Amino acid sequence: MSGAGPTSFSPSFGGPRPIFSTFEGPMGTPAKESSSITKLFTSPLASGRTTTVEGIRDTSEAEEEMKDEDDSVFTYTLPDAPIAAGRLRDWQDRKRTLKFTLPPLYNSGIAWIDGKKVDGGDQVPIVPDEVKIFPAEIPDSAYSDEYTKFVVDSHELYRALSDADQIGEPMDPSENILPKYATTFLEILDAARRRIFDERLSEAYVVCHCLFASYFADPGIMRAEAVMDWLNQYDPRPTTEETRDIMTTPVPYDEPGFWEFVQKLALRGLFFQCSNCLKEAGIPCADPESKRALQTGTSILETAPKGAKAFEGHRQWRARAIAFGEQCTKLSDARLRRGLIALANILRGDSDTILALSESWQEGTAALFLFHDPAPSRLPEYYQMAVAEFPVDLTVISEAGCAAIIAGDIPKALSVAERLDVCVAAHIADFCDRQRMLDDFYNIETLDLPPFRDWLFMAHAINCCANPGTWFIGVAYLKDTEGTAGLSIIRESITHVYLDTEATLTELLDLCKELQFDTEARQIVMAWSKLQLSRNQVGSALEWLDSIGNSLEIRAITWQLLESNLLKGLTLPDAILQRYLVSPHLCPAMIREFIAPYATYFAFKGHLNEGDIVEAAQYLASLIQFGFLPGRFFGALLGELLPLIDRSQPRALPTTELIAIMNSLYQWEKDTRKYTEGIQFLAKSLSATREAAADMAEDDWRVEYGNVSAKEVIKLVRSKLVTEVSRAYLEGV
Amino acid sequence: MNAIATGHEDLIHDIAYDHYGRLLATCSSDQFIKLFTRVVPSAEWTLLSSFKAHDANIFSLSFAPPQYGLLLASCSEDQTVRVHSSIDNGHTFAKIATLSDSGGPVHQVAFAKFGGHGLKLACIGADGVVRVYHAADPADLRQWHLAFEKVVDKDGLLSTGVAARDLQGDFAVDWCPSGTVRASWFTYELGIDMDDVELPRVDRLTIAELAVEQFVASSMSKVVVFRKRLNGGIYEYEPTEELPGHTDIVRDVAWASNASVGGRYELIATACKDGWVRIFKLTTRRMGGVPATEYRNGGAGTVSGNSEIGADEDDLGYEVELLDQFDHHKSEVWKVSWNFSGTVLSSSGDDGRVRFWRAAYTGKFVGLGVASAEQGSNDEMDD
Repeated sequence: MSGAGPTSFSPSFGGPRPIFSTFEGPMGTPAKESSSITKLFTSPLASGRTTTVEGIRDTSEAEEEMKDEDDSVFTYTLPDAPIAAGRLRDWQDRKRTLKFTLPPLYNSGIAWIDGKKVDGGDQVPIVPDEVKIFPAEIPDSAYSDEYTKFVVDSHELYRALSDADQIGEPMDPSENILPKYATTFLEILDAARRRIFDERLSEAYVVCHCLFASYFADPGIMRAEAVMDWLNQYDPRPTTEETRDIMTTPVPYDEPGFWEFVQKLALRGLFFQCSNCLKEAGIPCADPESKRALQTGTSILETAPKGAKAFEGHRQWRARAIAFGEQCTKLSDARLRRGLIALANILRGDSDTILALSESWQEGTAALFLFHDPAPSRLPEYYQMAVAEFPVDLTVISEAGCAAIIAGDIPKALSVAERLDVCVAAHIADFCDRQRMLDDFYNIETLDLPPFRDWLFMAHAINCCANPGTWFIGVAYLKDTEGTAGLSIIRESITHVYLDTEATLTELLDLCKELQFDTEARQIVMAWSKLQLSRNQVGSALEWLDSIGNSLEIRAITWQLLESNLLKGLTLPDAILQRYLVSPHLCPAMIREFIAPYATYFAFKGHLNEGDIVEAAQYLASLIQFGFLPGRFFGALLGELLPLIDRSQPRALPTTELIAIMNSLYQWEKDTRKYTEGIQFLAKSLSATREAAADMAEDDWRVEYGNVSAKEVIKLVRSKLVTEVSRAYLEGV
Repeated sequence: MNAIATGHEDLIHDIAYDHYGRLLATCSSDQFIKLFTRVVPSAEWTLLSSFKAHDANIFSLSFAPPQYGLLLASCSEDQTVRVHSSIDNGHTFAKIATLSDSGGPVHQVAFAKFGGHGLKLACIGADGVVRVYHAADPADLRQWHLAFEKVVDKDGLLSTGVAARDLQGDFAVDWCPSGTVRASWFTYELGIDMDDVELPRVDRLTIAELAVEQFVASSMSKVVVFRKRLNGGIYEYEPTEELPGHTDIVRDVAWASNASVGGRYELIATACKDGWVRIFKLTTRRMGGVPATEYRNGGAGTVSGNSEIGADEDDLGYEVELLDQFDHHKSEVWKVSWNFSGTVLSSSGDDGRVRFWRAAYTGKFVGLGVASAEQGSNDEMDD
């Protein structure tokens, strides 16, 4: 897909692969106008040609042969390439190697230089280039903005065609919508290649145009005319220079190349130009026969059948051309006689004359098709006659593709097109599939392979998925393919789509729901919740986890919340979390269940800040006695208790609570693992105070006890608890 | 896009992308890991963070699936695997676990790519042992337990059980991306052909998903597939098939996604010191009574036959076939890497070139192009 590639790739394409045309100068003849209907296409495939998977294999093997013989694969240089030209050997002598890795989804990877593990390590000094990384793209796969537009436009047309067409149903010739859509696709492709200036896309255009001319011609135009139009567009003859050299002279007829010029115009079906040339060339008509013959010739040229009725009118017109030829044999002017007879021979479709005057198999085929008998079923026959004189240059990819099209080997043509541009190949395959042109291709050999159209769409869709901005287009194509491969590719890539916004998330989850990708939906939601956590959107993260019933993660997050607060002091929750903490009835049941310890701690801190010590102490006491409290938090929570059981304060806890806390303390100390974890955590909490003393809230208990060891804190708590119990006893409560 | 100076003070040994391809981590002999972020929309990479992660050369990196947060594993010549976590989108990392079971430098580390298997990582080092660690509790990623360890190729090691430092050796491991269709497994499990079952496509896909946990590991010149199988009532990893034909040290292994072939078979690529890039096709079949490996060293497409290690009657296994092999590098190949769909393979090596191979319609691989690190390579007929 040349159009896809970065401009830096382009130079390499010009080297090994000659092309037909650079598309300079006029781009073909004016569009034909006709309202009548062309005879419906008759597939050459139906005329005895059997297309097999070999057709595809041939092109792959041709590639491989080429690769093996001269290794002529496309090569481009990495930006800022670190090895000087011709210094590869020196670089290798430095015991260096090149490594490269592709990213999980995109087509652009990274190359870097590594040392080889030789003889106990690398002793060669490093140079700056060796600690750089080098972005590198898979050839022909990265989309430019312009190419992305082509992809989007093509997809929109594909969608419109899919909506308008009922695949599989035989189409009434008069209701065939494909030519209209084919014309539009060709226009989209033409606009793209003009924007992108890429040779391979231009070659793909040539192949596409050839296919559409051969099999999807507008009903208002004879197929033979369409094929000639294709030829005149990509290889216009006579050239502008040839026309100027002949027709701008005082007497064009006197020019030695005059008749050759006239015959070329006729051979290319440029009838009006040819007629005008004869009229304006200053041909001396010394006798009435010459004048009559010239008039007859120009009249035949000007009345050449065109449009939908051309096929029916061809036989009659050809008879006139034959008669014209006979008329010319009587002319006395030898030069005029020879020229007009040759012209007549072209017009009557004389194969010897046409092939003798042709310069390529394309020209010979198109002219025979136009003049000999424009029946579509005869096109492969003309192709065979032409290639017997002018072999196909298979080294030119577009020529190989056009040859396959004209010969009726559509799968092979599509395979060749795929080497030029997979987007183009997929779409033209779709047209062929809708026209039932690929039916003969599917046989025993293709049983284990996906339909070729689907395979091409998958290849195109994979590229779409691997380019930013076109993932959903790729998915749309994949959904339209048969079998499970398309869905598998969606499944493989869907979790790799970056969750930049909630809208993207929703779109992906909708797709998961549609395709029943439950596992992937869970993974996406979990990944999103992690992203939300990293953005401090804890409430949102919890809500999403709740939506997939992930209690394990919710539990983990809520304990982490408590841990974070115990270490860093109370941090303000985000809006959603705040709502749940303040109004627990709004909280989904699962979140409410797991958030309870953190909510209790939050309430404790809230009351403490408001100076409501009794209420605060009750929340803290209930948290300390919580049966499922991880042991590591116990010590730090006891520390929080210190300011509340100070004799300077009014008594905050009743005796029963105090005794229950003492009992919990006793149980915790008995469990070695829990105790150790708790002491370690408390120590960490205290050390966090010392490290961030300036940021600590004034009422944080650690401000006062920051320099005390964890074990001392526990000792102090126990002592104060005992004191507080005795105080309660003395106060008689 | 131009080359990017990383700021490393020594050679870079590995690069890893996060799950989205938006973060890039590099590791080096300078003992540092550097993290780069892809700027949207310019697609340029800019340095996000840098931290000293080990006390010796760092050989390999791997990001965990994103549902476990931003976790990065690294392995080093200091014989440890370390797990680093970031809670601020990669601006800072904290080491949360050190796994030090290896008896030698650890060459490669890889998180299981398919999150459905839980958070697991495999590593392999100079002791030739492939190890799998599992973090069972997502609430506490500091806790990892050694779930599996096995010598891949004891013949390739010294009597001490460790590859000698002054000799060349290499070790690699890669997980099956999994999570995609395994229609062939389903077919064999139930003894019916999926294509004969009248089911909506989506249902068929769901039913066919039997997520088989498997990875490929290489030690010296031996490449072995490990798969979790039911053994004595419990599922455990076992060496199941060998990928034959390597005549020298295998530098890298890469397991492709099987999505593009609808799960009909698996593809594994290897990079070898003998100069060959090899692509193996693994097709599910029932084992038992199949002749032992008859590997003909040579042309691509040679069928290897049954290369299962210790296959039991009626076991499910893979028929291993050398699908393609390429020696275009004409020198050591060090790295192989697949695109997300398993349709494009890259290989790179001593010739200073990255070579791309693409799957053709028939499933065979053909050359796609070459990216050269040597200046002035445009337009050239690659040699």
